[in-house]
Parts: sequence; C-alpha cells; structure tokens
Amino acid sequence: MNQIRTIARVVIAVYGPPRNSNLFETAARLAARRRACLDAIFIEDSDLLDVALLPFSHEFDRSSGVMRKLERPRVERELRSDADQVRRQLESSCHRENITVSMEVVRGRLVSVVQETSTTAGIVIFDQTNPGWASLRRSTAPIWLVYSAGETGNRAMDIALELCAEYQTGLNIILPTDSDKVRVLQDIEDTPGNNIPVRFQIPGNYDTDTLLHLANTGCTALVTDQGNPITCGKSTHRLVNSLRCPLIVVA
Amino acid sequence: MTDKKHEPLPPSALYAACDRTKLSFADTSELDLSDGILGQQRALDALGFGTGIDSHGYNIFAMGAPGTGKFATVKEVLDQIAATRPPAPDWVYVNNFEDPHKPGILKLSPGYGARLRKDLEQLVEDLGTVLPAAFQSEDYQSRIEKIEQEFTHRRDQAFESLAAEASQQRVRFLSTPTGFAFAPLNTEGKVIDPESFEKLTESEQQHIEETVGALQKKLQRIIREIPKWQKEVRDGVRLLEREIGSLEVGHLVSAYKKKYQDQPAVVEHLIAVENDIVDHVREFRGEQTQTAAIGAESAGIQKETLSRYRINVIVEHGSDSAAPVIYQDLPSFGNLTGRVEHRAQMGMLLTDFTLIKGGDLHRANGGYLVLDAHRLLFQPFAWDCLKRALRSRLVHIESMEKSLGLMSTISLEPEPIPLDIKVVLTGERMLYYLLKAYDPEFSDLFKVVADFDERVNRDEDTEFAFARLLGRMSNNDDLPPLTSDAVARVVEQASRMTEDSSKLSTRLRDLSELLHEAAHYARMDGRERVDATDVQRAIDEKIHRHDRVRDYLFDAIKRGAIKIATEGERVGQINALSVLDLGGFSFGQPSRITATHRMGDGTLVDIQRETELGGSIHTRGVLILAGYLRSNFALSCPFSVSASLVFEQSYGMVDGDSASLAELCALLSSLGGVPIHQQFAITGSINQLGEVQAIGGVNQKIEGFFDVCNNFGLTGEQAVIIPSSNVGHLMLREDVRNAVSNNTFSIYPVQHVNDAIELLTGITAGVRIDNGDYPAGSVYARVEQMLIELALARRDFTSPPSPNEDEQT
Repeated sequence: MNQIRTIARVVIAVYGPPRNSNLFETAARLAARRRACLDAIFIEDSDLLDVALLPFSHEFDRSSGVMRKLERPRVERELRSDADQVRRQLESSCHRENITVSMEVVRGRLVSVVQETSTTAGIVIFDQTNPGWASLRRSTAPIWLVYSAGETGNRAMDIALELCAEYQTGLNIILPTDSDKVRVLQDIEDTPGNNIPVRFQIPGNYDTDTLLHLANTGCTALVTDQGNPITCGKSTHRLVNSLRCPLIVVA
Repeated sequence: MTDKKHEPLPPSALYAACDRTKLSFADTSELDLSDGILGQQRALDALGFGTGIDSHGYNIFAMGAPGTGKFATVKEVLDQIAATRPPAPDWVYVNNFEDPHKPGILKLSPGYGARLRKDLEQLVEDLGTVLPAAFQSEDYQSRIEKIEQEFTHRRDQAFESLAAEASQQRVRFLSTPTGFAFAPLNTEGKVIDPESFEKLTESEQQHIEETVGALQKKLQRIIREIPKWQKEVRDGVRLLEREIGSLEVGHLVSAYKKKYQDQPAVVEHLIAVENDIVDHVREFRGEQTQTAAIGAESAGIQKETLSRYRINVIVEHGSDSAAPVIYQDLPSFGNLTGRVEHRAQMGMLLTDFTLIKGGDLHRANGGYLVLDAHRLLFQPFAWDCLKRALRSRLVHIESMEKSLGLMSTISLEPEPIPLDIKVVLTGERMLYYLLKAYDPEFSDLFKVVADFDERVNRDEDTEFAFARLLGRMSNNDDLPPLTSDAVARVVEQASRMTEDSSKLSTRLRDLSELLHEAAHYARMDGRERVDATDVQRAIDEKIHRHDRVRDYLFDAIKRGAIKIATEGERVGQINALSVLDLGGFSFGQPSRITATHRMGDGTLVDIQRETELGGSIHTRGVLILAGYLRSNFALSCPFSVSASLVFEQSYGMVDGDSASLAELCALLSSLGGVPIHQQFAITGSINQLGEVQAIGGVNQKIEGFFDVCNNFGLTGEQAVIIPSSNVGHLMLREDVRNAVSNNTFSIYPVQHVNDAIELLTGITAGVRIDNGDYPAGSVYARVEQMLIELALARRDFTSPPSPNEDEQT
C-alpha cells in the first residue's frame, strides 16, 4: 500500500434511513487517516416528495407489507427523523476517530446533488439506495475494484486494499484487459504486510451492466475512480440506483 | 440399744467390695479392648434382628435412659454390620430436557458418579470448542452464505424485476423512509408532479392509476412472500446446523456411550444429551452473528447452555467398601431430605438442578441412618418428613414452604429417589411410649425396639468386662490407663450408682465423667496411670462441688435451727429420712415427723397434703397406714380418733411413701403414749398388713443421718432402721462402714412394723393372744386401749343425756 495522501474532504451521500453503521465508521476512518473532514449529504428525494402529492399514491411498509396513503407531511417528518438519526450516528463515528463532521440536508436527486456538491472531495461514498433490505451483517463478500491505470486508479486501489484489511475479506479487481494484470498484481504484492487474496475479473463486455451483474453476486463495497468510463457520469447514477452495496468513488 | 431379737447388720453387709485379686492385670492397657459393649444383650439381639430383617417398617427405636451408651453401641453395631454389606449406589441429578422443572435421577454403581461428572464436564468443555469451531469453518460459512444468498437473490430479483417492469411502464420504484412506493414518470423520465398530473386527461390519469395500482398489487404479493422465503432460509439453516451438530456431537458422545455401556441409565442420559445439543446447536455457534434473513441473534455460548449438560452428584461413595452409616446431629427438615438452593441474579432468585443438595436420607440410602429422636421431634416438620419418606420409600426434595403450601412460585420438583434404608432412632423410654401411644404411624414404621438397660448384673465376669469397657473408654478419650485398684473402685461406684450392690451401672456418660476427672487428678499428680485414690478423689471432689446445700442444712441442724434429736425419747416424734436430689448430686437428710391425736371421727390429717406440700404418693402412704391402724386396732369400736401427721420444718414438696413406716410409728407412739428413742432414724414404706417395703436412696439416707449424728458426736446408740429388702442395695461410704465396725453406729433391717416399733420404743409390739387382746403392757395393747377409750368417750359425748341427769341438773 502506498503512503496515504492527505486530502481535504471525504463526502458521504446518504439516502434514506441509516442502513449500515459500518459504512459510517468506514467513512470516518478513511477521512481520519487522510486528515480530511467528513461532509455528509443527506438527500431528500424530490421525486418522493412530488409523488407524495399525487392523489393515488400509496406506500407499502417494509416490514409488514401494509399499504397506506403516501402523505407528504408524514414523508417530510420521517425524512427529518432519518436525517437526525444519520447525523447522530455519524457524529458518534467521527467522535471516535477524533475528526469533525458536517451534514447538509439537500432536496433533489441523489447523484446530481452529490456531483454538484462534491467537486472538491477526494473520496465520495454513496450509501446503497437499492430499495431492498440492506445487509445488516458485516459481509464476508469481497471488495470490488474497477481498476483504471493512472494516479487516481492507484489511489482507488489503495482504498480498496484498506477496506479489504478492515473487513478482512478478499479483493476482486475488474480489468478491461489482461495487459495490466501482472503490473497490478506486482503492485499489490509489493505492498508491505499485504496478504489479501486477490482475484481478477476480465469480463468479455467491459460495461456498466456487466459490472452490475458481477458486483451484485456478492460485494461489500465497490471502489472506483472518477475517471473510469464504466462508472462515471450517467453510469454513476445507474450504479447508485442498482448496486446492492455502497459505491466509493475516488478522485 | 439392741436386743437379741433385732440384730444390727454386720459391716460385711454394708458394702459389696470388688475383689481386687480377681482383676488380674496391672492396668487397663493390658486388656483386650476390642469389645466395648457391656451387657445389653437384649438390645444387641434387637439390633441384630432389626438390621437383619428385610421387610418394610422394621426400623429400630433404641430406647434407654440418657447416658447409657445407646448411641455408641448402635454406632459400633451398625459399623460392624455395614462392613459386611455392599456399598450403596451413587445418585446423580441430571437435567430433564423435556421438562427442566423436574430434574431426573440416575442410579449409578458406587464410584461412577464422580467419574461421570468428570466425563460430562470434559464433554461440555469439548462442546465449547468443537461446535463453535465447526460453525466457524469455511465449509459451514460458505453453506450458510449460499442459503442466505439464495434468499437475497430471490428477494432482490423480485424487486428488480418489479422495478424493471415499472420502468417499462414509465413508473419509478421508490424507497420511502419506511417502505416502498411507485412514482409515475413523464416522457422525460421525471416524476409527474401534481400540477402536471392535473393537466392530464381523465383517461390518462386513469391509465396511470391503473398501472400504479397493478404494480402495487404485485409489490404487495412480493412483500407477502418474503416471510415464507425467510422461513425457508431458517429451515435450511437449521437443517444445516443440525447436520453439523449431529456429526460433531455424535462423535464426541459415542466415546462416552461406549465407556458407560454397563450403566444403561447413563447411556440413556447421554442419548438425551446428544439430542438436546442437536436441538439447541445454534446456541453453540459461539459468535456474535446477525442474520437479516433469519432475524435471529446468538451472543456466544451462554454458561447456562453448557451447565445443563453437567450432572449433580448428590451422593457419591467413591472408594467406600461398606454400606453407609450416617449420624446426623441436627436432623432438620432440610438436612434430612435435602434442599433446592437458589442463586441471586439481577434481583431474582434462580435455581436449576445443579443447585439440588442431597440430605441425610440420600447419603444413608442403602445403609443406615442414626438420629436422636428428641432432636428430631424438636425440628419443625422433620418427623413428618421422615415418616413420609419411610412410608412411601421415596425421598422427595422440596422446600418446607412449598410442602406447607406457603409458596406458589415455580420451583424445581426433582424426581424422588427410591429409599432403601434402616433408620435407628435413639431416645428415652418415655419418648418411645408416647410415640407408641399417640402416633398411629409410629408402630408401623418402627417395629423393632432395642431396650438398653442402665444396669447389668454384677459378677466376676461382668466386673472383668467392665474393666475392659473402662479401658476402652480411657483409650478412646486418650486418658491414662486405670490400675486394677482404680477399676475396682469404679466398679464399686458403678454399683452405688445403681443403688444395688449386685448390679453395675451402664450409664456410660457418668462413668466417662468419672474417668475424665480421675485422670485429671492423676495427671495433676504426675502419674501415668489412674489409681484408686484418683477415683476416690474425683468422687469426693464432685460431691464437694455440689454439697453447699447439704452443708447449709447440716449446719442448721447442728445449730438447732432445724430440730433433729439424736438422743433422748419423745412420744409421737420420730426421725424420718428423705433424699434431696440437686441434679447430679443427692444426699440424705433427716426430718422430724410428729404425730398428735384426740377424739374424733376417724380422720387422719396429713398436714403436708392439706397444705398442698405433699405429693400423691406420700398421701397414698398415709392412707395405707390409716388402713393398717383401722384393721389392726379396736376392731369392735368405731375408729374415733382424729390424728394429724406433719413433716416438721419442711417447706418444700414431699413425695414418695418411704416415710410411711416412720409416720405409722409416730402415730402408734402418740396413741399408745409410748416414747420413741430419738437416736434412731427410720425409713421404709409399709403396706396395709404392716409389712415393710423397700425404698430408694437407702445409702444416701443412712449417710445423711450418720453425718448429722457425727456432727453431734457418735454415741454408739445411734442407728438407722431400714427395710430388710434394702440390705442388698447397701453400698455405704467408708466412714459409715468404719463406724459400724467400731460399734459407734448401727443399721437395723426390719421386715414388719412390729420390728420397727420394738426397736424404736424398746417395748414389745404385741401379738394378739387367745382372748383376742394384745398382751398387757405391749405397745399395741396401749394403742388399742387408747382407741377404745376414745370410742367410749365419743359415745358418751354424742349420747343424749339420761332423764335422771336432767332432774339432777
């Protein structure tokens, strides 16, 4: 692992109620190690607020499956409550790591809001937004890295290795071609104290759909850099909405 | 004051000395001390019978006076018998996995309890490592993950399909703070806001609503399916856990099953343990796990989880080679039946089968239990619980509160243990007779009585056996051995304790005290053997420690405060003898009895009785003497005398009839006007025929009068009159014997009141001659004359006056 670079900000984007306190702790730890401050953005989905005004809108309770009228005042109340919970958990995590945290509640659509507000962030962490049940267990599934050659790609790999060590799991690396495999492997082996099992995936179709398919077979977190063609731009939006794990984008 | 007719006893009749020459040993250390039981053949036979008979209810009550060595004898006999019987089984309480409130019991061969406990502790320890390891294995983890992934995939697939279907219909599947919702999209892929929706045509609005409605129904179906999928996952996980558990546990338990194949109960329990572990295998995972799909949580292996596979050995006989003999000094309810203890935890009292404590009935099961009846009866509910156990032949462990219905909280109900026991109660005779009379169950449960005698016949053999007993007692208590002289002195003292020169006391407690005290003086003098002087000193010192009251009384007599005459003569006054028992020390004391009379209606006033200072037996004696008078004097006249009798200067309760002879003599003296020689003291009871009967405390009574006379100065005339039937009881003090030898004191035995009155008055008592009268001048002639005179006087006094007398008047 290369020496950790100091960055100014780590941004974590949270959507909805806190699902995974491990993620908050990981975010705080990443920020602390890089002497960065942690900025949280709690997104109130504007689509949800709009739909709550439609006369026929209903929601189904996640636990009981009971159907009830979707009412905007109640949704707003619940979102505020979720934001408070997120704030408390984040503060608790950051207190342990002795760093500061700020949280902003923003109404809008997740990715666009984050992209607008995190231009100076060294790392952006998207909590999973998949409407299924978040895994509450500390997963044994591997960390996935969508590797790109270059400085940001290397930084993404450092973070991926850091997460593997923290979660005591393996690393799956997605490469577009075989060509970088030997060099990447050499870099990983050169990392002092590293004994993380590494597997390479070189898909026939190197695209977002294939990435989603692979990652959703079992993934603790997906790490990528902001220049990667299959994870940046609109792909980010797609990944955030469809991944069953958090997405970590390294600048 | 003797005549040929009434001879005093010779010195040889006053004391049955132990023949030192027959004790052919220097000291008791030379004796064979293996047999420490003296006499008691009747009791020994009963114990042999009671322990030998193998029928229900043949428990034993060993009865006898306190200190007769009942307990020691029972212990010795039972120890001997127990050594010939096989050791009792071990008893073990185990968890009842079907119903933990009712722990089960295992009966094991002796020594197996401890072995099984160790093995099961090892098993528990092994389980604590093997099972968590199995559940942390990669194989298990990957199989669990596979099951869970299958669920997750199924669920996510369902949602993703629904989201895709919604997307195709231009509807977005949204996550709300608490659930899910659908949002219709416009052509640009943005959620339709309310204003835009209002602008749509009615048919468009209806189409959107129908589309969303259809999607909602599908979502509802998926959500309703999820619990079923979760259950399938749970079942799958459980099945996998049982599979892993069965494999690991079966391997561990099978070794123990083989080891205990000769103990079917253990094998059965091991099977139950195996099944329970498999049923609860999840509790052995030993890690903090959280599974969303399962919704279950395990916080490591709890102590309680493991402890339920342990066992509680409540009775273990380890290396015992004989049947148990248990002695309980405190036979309380809990000590007999055992108890269920509790531990305080988080403000609550909790219990389980490991907190069951066995009682004496458990420990003695298969052997013998010896209890003191008096102590048993004093312990609340202990007697009832013992009877219940003996009656049902089962030992139930339950709290007293529960058995009384005072507590209704859920507690343990341990399986009762079959009881095979002989209980030996030791106690006084009175206790036995009271139980026999008032407890109907007692006769059914204690059918054997072992009656311990407090005396044995005294002869050469028993004297020698007595020597061995003394030697054994000294040996057991680490006392120095006794010389043959010391033994002889103890033998003599043991005879005196029985108040019979032909008996020996078996009151081991008193003998033990004497031995300890004699040994103390021997040690003080630096001797390694106890000699006769030590024994005598122990006797004398003990008396000295207790005789303050005697000294006070005798001093009062000497100073005349208590009037006792030991010389001269007096009509209607006599020296009687009584015994004062001060608890551990008794002594004789002379008491003056006086009798007076006058004309009356035949009433004999017993002043002791009138003042409620006379007991019923004393009153009985007075009534008997009245009967004697009525049937022997002035038979043709009404009994026209009113007499009274009193113990002078007696302010305490008087009981017993040993003064009835003295009272009769005093009354005869009064009626006949015949003076009584005051140098005599007399004791004895009489019957209506005037025969003199034996009394108790004869030695103390004689010694008491001797001491008083000695204080005043022995004249050679002073004597004590005793019943002839008491001569065999004499074991008098040495100074008394010496006085008799020196003719300064005498003891006269009498068989009839005639003998006594002649000795006391020096006048012939009188026997009716041919004309039916007593010989003139005899005591009885004077008595009869007085009674006739009183009768005539009474007749004259009560007859109406004659006419001539009236005229004269």
